[in-house]
Amino acid sequence: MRRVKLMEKKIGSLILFFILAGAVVAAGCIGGGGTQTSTQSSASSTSSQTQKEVTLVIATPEEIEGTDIQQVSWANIVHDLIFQSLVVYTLDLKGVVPNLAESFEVSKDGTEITFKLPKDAKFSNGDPLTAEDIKKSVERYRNVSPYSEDFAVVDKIIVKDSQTAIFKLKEPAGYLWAVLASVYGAPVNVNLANKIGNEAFNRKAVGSGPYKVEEWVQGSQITLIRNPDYKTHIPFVKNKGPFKFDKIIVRFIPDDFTRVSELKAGNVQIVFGIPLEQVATLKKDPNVQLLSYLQPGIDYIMINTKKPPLDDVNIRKAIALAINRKELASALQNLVRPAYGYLSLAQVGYDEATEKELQTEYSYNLEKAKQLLAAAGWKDTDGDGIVDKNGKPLKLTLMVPLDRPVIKKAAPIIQSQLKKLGINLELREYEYSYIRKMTREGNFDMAMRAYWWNDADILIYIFHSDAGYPWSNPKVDKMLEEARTIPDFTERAKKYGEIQKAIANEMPVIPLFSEYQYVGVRKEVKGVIMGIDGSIYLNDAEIS
Amino acid sequence: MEYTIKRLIIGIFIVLAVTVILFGIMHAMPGDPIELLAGERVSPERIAQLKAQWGLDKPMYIQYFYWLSRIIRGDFGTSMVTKLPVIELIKARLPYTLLLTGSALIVQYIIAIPLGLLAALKWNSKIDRIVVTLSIVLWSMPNFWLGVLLMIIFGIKLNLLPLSGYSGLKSLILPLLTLSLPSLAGTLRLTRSEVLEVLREDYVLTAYAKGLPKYKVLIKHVLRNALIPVTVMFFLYLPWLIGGSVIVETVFAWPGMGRLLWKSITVQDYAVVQAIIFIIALLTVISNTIGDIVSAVLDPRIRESL
Repeated sequence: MRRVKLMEKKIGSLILFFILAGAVVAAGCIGGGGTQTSTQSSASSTSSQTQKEVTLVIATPEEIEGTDIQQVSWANIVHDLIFQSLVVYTLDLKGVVPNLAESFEVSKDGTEITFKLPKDAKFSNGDPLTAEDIKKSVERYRNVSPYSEDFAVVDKIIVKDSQTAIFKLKEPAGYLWAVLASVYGAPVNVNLANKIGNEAFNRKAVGSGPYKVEEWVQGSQITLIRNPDYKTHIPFVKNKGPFKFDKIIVRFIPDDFTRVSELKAGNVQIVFGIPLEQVATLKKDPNVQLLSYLQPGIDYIMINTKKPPLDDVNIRKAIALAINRKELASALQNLVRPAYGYLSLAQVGYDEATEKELQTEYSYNLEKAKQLLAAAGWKDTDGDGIVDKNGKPLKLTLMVPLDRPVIKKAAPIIQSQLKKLGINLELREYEYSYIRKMTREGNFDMAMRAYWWNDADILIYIFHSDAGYPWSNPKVDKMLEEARTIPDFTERAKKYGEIQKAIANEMPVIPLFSEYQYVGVRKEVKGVIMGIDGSIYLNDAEIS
Repeated sequence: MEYTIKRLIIGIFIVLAVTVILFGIMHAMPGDPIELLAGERVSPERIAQLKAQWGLDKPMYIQYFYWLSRIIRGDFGTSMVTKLPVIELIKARLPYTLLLTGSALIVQYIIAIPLGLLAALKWNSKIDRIVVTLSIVLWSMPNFWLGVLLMIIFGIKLNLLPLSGYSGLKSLILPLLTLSLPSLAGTLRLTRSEVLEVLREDYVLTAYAKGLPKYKVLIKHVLRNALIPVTVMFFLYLPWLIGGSVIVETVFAWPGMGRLLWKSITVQDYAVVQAIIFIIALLTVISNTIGDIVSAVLDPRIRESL
């Protein structure tokens, strides 16, 4: 009995010990981080005692994979703040202007691009940034990035002098601008990455952007402090020097309700990923303004052109004609823009005339759709509302990505629209990546998909025979390869116009719409600039 | 002792079985992190190349044995998403989860046991009915709903507490309440029913009959016996202390393990998911064993039956 009692006490104290130890360790670990930041902030506040420190808080739904732009699959506002591309697109995507580069020049034949760097260019840790670093960055990108093929067309980079880097291309490449003008192609401090290793560099990467990483609390937030050496040559921003916020904190808040509540409460000044159901209420909020941009790409239905009866182009065109995109858009509260061609307004290579032409040809026309079906031999002979051929009703399945909210909402509307044509469409929900896999394997009837990239070159990854999808056409292959090499923006858009028409003629993919995206900004933040593809510039932004 | 060793050996096999099943499920799921994360502009060849880099092109059983041999050497591998060591990711999240779940557990026991005892002693009185009704209400509140409700009241309307994220102990209050209130009800009801049962035992009557003061009877005879299941329950909670709560952590943007696990599952970051599940499985086995031993120590009848 006595021994038991002793044991009892021991276990009692053991339990207590566990809890206390856990709590102490937890508090200790977290407290450690906390004191560290507080000392740092007090240190910086003493250095600028007269001026109050200005902090901007931004919230995004997704946490960054890492800080090194060359190792991640998706860029985020954090990378926009750490890195600086050589050039950027103009806000309307009609041209390219300098950013880090002082100036640039393209040779007549389009195979040589010369970038001139400013004399005193520096990385945000103070290391000098020279033409040699540009070369090393591209070489590292080709090694580590999942998008390593982006620079495949670059034959070599010649370092003429410390300020001049010449990109020698295998052929002219209009699509190369998409990488050069995006944060993906921005120079990184390769010398540092080599010294500390890729892993450490991914924790605290160094570029030449307006901010540098101070502390990344995984799962929570990243604190960025201003790079006093930052300089830009973007013509459409007024402030070409360092940003006006001493600090920017980017918080990762996965829950939609929480993220929007933080914006409404004023704890966060800029919020990315405003959910569609909140757009209407936020538009009425007097303290918030909503900036919108269009998806640089389209949401679409891919059709398995190798599988009967969808191997018949008449059926594919009939389906395209039976989809009423205007009705679809209004059912989605006009948060989407109907698409008839394969490119959106927010992409380089978009051609207005082609879009109009395809719109007149493929706008909703149920009568014509029915005629096309009848021509293919599908008629409703038994009067059940579903067309049939040789006694078999026309039943098709549509794969719907359950992780894409807007596409998912559109699916049942399309189902009811095709019912009017006499097609029995069955919806099946899967994860987006599974749908991509199944479409590549040719294991589907119809599948809803999307793409996001601000250059028309993305079409090569969907319609070229090398992309591995059921449909391809040697003529279109050739046209896609040609379009890549056109350096002139207008010429290139024209070529992509022809390509789109050639694709529509066989209708392996039915364009549906592009989604509008919303960024919530508190009214007290002024001077935020956004391009039509959603690229955001905080150079002139300040809190009033 | 022999029993304990037997339990531990069985435990090791259970943990191994869990990892095998998990490995099978994870790899049977369509897609992998490379395909899931890569945007549209990656060619099939580059995807194959990246897969080979991570060893995903090898047969599943070989991948499993690689993983197992690393785990035995204490290496949890590298996350395919962040390219950082898994152990680092876990170390970053664990303190926050321990702080949240640990304090929730303490709060839960501190409130639930006295209330449960009170309700049982005042059985069928007004107090009992209030406590029981309250516990039913709490028990039936979904976590996410309660979290949002508390956020609206204390964060937005009253503006007393931070809405989300970790910014000092003040930001702990709302997630702590969201986590402990519903589970408090379970412990409360368990305590109440156990105490009620013990109160009806003959030995309690005997204790009263031999003239022991009421508090002595309650503490020495009633609580001691009634709290055995409650104590065992405590040990069953231990794995959850580490695993965290996906819902509460997501709603409050709490940088804990639950979210790490959830996020890693959605992008199929094999190494991270396997490491966390491995740790939880291991802890489940250990804490169950400890729970058994503790209940044996507390209850001589169980000890003898071992």
